[in-house]
This record gives sequence, C-alpha cells and structure tokens, in this order.
Amino acid sequence: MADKEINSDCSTKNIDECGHFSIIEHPADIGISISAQSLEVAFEIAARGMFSIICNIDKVKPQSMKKIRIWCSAEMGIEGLLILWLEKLIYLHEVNKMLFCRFEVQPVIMNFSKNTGGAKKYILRARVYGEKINNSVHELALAIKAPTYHKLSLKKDDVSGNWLGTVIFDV
Amino acid sequence: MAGYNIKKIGEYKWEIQKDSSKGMRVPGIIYADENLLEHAKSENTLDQVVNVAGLPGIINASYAMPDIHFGYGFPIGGVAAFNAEDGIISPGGVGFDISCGVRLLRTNIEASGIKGRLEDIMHRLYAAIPKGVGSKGRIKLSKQEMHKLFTGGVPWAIKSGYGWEEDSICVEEGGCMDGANPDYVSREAYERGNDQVGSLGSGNHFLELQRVSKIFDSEAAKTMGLYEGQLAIMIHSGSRGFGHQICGDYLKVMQQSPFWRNAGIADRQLACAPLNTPEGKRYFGAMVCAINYAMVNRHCLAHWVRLAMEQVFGSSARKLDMGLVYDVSHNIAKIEAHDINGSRRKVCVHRKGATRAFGPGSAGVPEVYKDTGQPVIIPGDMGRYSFIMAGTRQAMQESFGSTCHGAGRVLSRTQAKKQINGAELQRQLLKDKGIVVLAQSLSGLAEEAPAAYKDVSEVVEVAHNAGLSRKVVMLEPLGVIKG
Repeated sequence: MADKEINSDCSTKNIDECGHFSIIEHPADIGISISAQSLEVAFEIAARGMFSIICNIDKVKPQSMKKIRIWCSAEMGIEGLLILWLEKLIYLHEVNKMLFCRFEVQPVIMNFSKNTGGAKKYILRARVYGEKINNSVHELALAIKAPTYHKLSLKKDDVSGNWLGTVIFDV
Repeated sequence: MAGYNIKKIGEYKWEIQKDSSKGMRVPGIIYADENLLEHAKSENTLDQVVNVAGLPGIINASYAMPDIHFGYGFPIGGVAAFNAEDGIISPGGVGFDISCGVRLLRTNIEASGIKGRLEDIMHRLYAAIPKGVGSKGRIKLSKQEMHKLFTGGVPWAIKSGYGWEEDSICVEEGGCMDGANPDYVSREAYERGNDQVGSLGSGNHFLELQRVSKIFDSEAAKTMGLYEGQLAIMIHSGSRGFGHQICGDYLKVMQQSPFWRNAGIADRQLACAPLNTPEGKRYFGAMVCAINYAMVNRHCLAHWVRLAMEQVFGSSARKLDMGLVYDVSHNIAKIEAHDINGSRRKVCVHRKGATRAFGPGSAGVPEVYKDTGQPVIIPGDMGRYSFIMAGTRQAMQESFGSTCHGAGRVLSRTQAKKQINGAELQRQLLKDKGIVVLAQSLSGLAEEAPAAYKDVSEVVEVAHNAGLSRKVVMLEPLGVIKG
C-alpha cells in the first residue's frame, strides 16, 4: 500500500517537519509503520495512522479538543510510552464516542523524580482534536482493541536521523 | 524457526521435542493434519509454541489446537497450564478480548418456514442489537452496579431482569466465575465498560440465525435440544473495551514486576507473574471481572434477541422454546483440577483461542450434559458452517480438557479488502445462498468474507479425529449481523 503524506494536520508546521505512515499487512490484524523527523511527530503520525484504520480520518473535523498528560517509567522504554499514548487515544475514543484527526504533541520529557527514588519517567503532553462519531459521515471501518507489543519499535535512525517505528494493532 | 525436531506421535498429533538450547522446559504438542501443520510452520506459529514451552513452571507441554495460528505472545489455539499456587498467569495467554466466547440459543421454529420472512427478522434483530465501532449497549451501569456485575455475573443479570432463571445452568462456571476483585480494575476500564454491556462489537464478532443442517451424534443432539432443520441463534462476542483495557493495564504491570525483570523472556506479550505475587493476584482478580462481564454481555444480547423474536413471531420466547444450549469462552485462564501423572492437582489453564471441552462426568459440566460431555461451540465463517461438538474424556487426559475454537484467516485484512467488495459480497451471499447479511461497515464485512477464512470443517475434523471433542451437529448460516 502506498505511503500517505500528511497534509491537513501539519497546518501549523512546515511540511518538512511532518512524517508519514503506511499500513502493514498482518495475517490476522493490521499495523502501521511510521517515519517522522522528530519524536513528537512520530507520536502524532502513529495516532493518525491508528485513526485512519478506524475510520476515514479525512472526514473528521477538529471541532473539539482534549488534553492528554501521560507518563510511564523509563524502564518501559519510549515504545512503552507509544503504547500508552495509543491506549489513551482508544480510551478517549470509546468513552467520549469521538474520533480524532489532529494531534499536537509537546516535546517528550524525561523526568528524574526524587520522590520515586530517582527513577526516570517519560512524560507526554498533547492536545488532540476531533469530533463526536457520526456513523453516516465518518465511514467507520474497524474497531481497534489495543496496540500490541508484537514487533513494536520506535527508534531514531542513525543515518537519516528520522524516528522509525512499527505498531501492530489487535482488531 | 528452522531446527525444531518434530516427530509424529499419533495420527493427528505431533511433538516438538523438548530442546533446552531453545529454552524449552517441556515439549510442544500440536494437534493437526499435515496441511494444518504446514500452515502453522509457514506462519512461524511454532516459534510461539516453543516460546510458551519456555515459560517457568509450565506443566506437561505447550499445546497447540488444530486451529493454531500466529497470535501475540501465545499462539491463537494455544493451551498451557501452570501450578495454581505459585505458577504464572499471563495476560497474553488469555488475550486482549478476555472471555471472548460463543452462545447458542435453540428454538422450536422450522428454518424452512421463515424463508419469506428472513429479511424482516434480520432487520428486527439488527435494530435490537447494539453493534459496531464505538458502539454502546442499551444499559449504562453505575460503578456500584458494575461491582455487582463483576461479582454476580449472569445470576446478577437474571435478578436484574435479563434472561431466564435457568440460563445460568448452561453457562460455563454457572455464569459467574469465583475470584472477581473490582478493586483491581482501573478507572479507565470502568469507564470503557460502563456503557458497553450488551453490545456486539465489530471485527469477527457476529450474531447469526442458523439452521441445524446435519446431525452427527443424534443422542447428544437430542440432549442439547437440537434437531435437523431447526432454527438456532449463535452469538459471538466478548468483554469489549472493558476486557481490552484490563489486558493492556496488566501487560504493563507485569512488565514492571520483579519477577518479569528477572525472567529473561524477550517477548513482552508473554509478560507474566506468579499467581501468588501481587501482580499475579491483581491480574487474576481483574481478569475474572472481565470474564463475568463477557458472559453477562452475551447474556444481555441473547435477552434482546428473545425480545425481538417475540415481536416477530407474536409469541413468547418460552413458547418458541428459545432455551440456552450453552455459552462458553475461548480466551480465558481458569483454576481447574486435573489428573497429572497420577495425582489430582489444581492448575491455572490458559486457553487462548481454545475452548474448554470437559468430558462426560467431569465436574463443572451441567447435570443435563453429564453423559454427553460439555457442549463446545465452534463458529465458522458467514458463508459456510459452524459446529457444535461435545467434550471428551480423552481431552481431559491429553489437553487439560481443551479443544479448538474456530478457523484462522487465509487472507490478511488488507488483502481481503483489496480482493473483495463488501456490498458485492452481501449481494452474492443473498443471491447464491439466500443468506441475509447486515453489517454496519461494508469494508469491515469484506475483511470478514468467507474467502478470508480457512474452512473450519478441516479444523473440526482434526479435533474430532484426535479425540479432543466429537462432532454433534453442523449449522449453516441463514442471516448474519456484523458490527
């Protein structure tokens, strides 16, 4: 399947700062591979990829906003934060009956906390935009149960400097 | 995956010989014919059977049912047991859709008599059943009510006015498994689950009107109240977002446990903890909440099916004899007593894409089925057939009382969408087979096309011939509802 260039949700960014995702074939489920020029855009692209599986994301309007603040221990890795991010979006999607089309992720922070005995954690803050689900407009396709750890990766490529990742979803 | 020593040890039984150099603590046992075995090899599923064989405390073997295919951590169709006291429990050995399972209702309606009304019946059922992406049920529960659901299961739902008093007898675990602990359920799981009770979901979940088309075991069929030509209704659904959240929560919890940090297992989807650790106890308590949630979910769906049929036929569901044949899960971990090397032991049996198939006389089988063995419901695809089987004594001896659960895919979802048009599939099934298919998502329907799935009869034949479960009846679809 052809890679999809992202345009509409890069309205506040230079297109060069954006990335792209492509759909990965899987025997039973479905996944995405991600390429992004920054870690934050990688998270945004992953979100867009996930909602592109759920619906026709181009039909979703950024009418209302939700704030997200999540953290995970550094032990779980940046991939663990990616899983948590996608799970949070699924939670907001189901609980609020919303679809999301625009994602603004702030720089991921690694925090050392004296309170936790110096254990490191990753913190992610974001604003996500979307609207209530409308069956007749949004061309709902597939429900996602969860992102999985199977073939999960998110790493900075030494050569290109891009963040490259893979997530497989259980559907 | 190269380098496994696979030996044929029975007509439909193969052993991956225990190899410590590959981390195996027990052998792998695969129930398959040559064709199914080759398919498992081609998908690298045997790697997963071997990985499970390396889990600490695994007892006897890492089992693969005839419908084995690639999963997350555990293979789908995987069965593994661990000591109930200090053995491990693994969310990946249960699956994201905790207690996904199947329910079958019978009727006294002749399927041939509804041909002219089939579309009307299906549209009424479609309207009555919540389904699809982002769907919610017809019930919204407070936190207190959810507590009661978790700890009361199907009997609580019956007391709350859903279904019949006697339904719980024919649900696995009497419709309520012991050990639910609502304190171990996260806020997010509560919020996802509080309005999804009684909703079908999407993907491979379905509600089908079916005709009993073939009888293999007339005595067992009679005990189950099934006969040729009869109209029956099958529901396939699970614990919805509630269960998915619990699995995700505890995969994280387990990965950060002291046990996992020292386990030396690379696959994060195999994250596990001993049942006697805080992490293991908490997952078990939350998992049982999800198991009871899933059973109540299918119970409520069945309740609305009965109400819709009452409206269609102008007769009570009791007069239509819409009794419950059985309700059984195929993604579950349970504490069970089994005979192991001559002594009776309590073990935690994980069945991921595998169905309990307790034989005649086994504890936990309803009295009505004590001579037959527990009914096993094997759903097929929407164009061909599904099967009812019965558990066997041989399954009790060989596979911790387990058998297959369905058929895996032959086409990926993207391949299916490229090759098949959902609207055209709908027209074709109606024109060629008279099957009425109603779906919220036509692209989702394409992904679920019959051509995307293996023929379940091959899986059922192997399970039958291997002695894990025996064929009772075959059912063919008349009408299908997909989310």
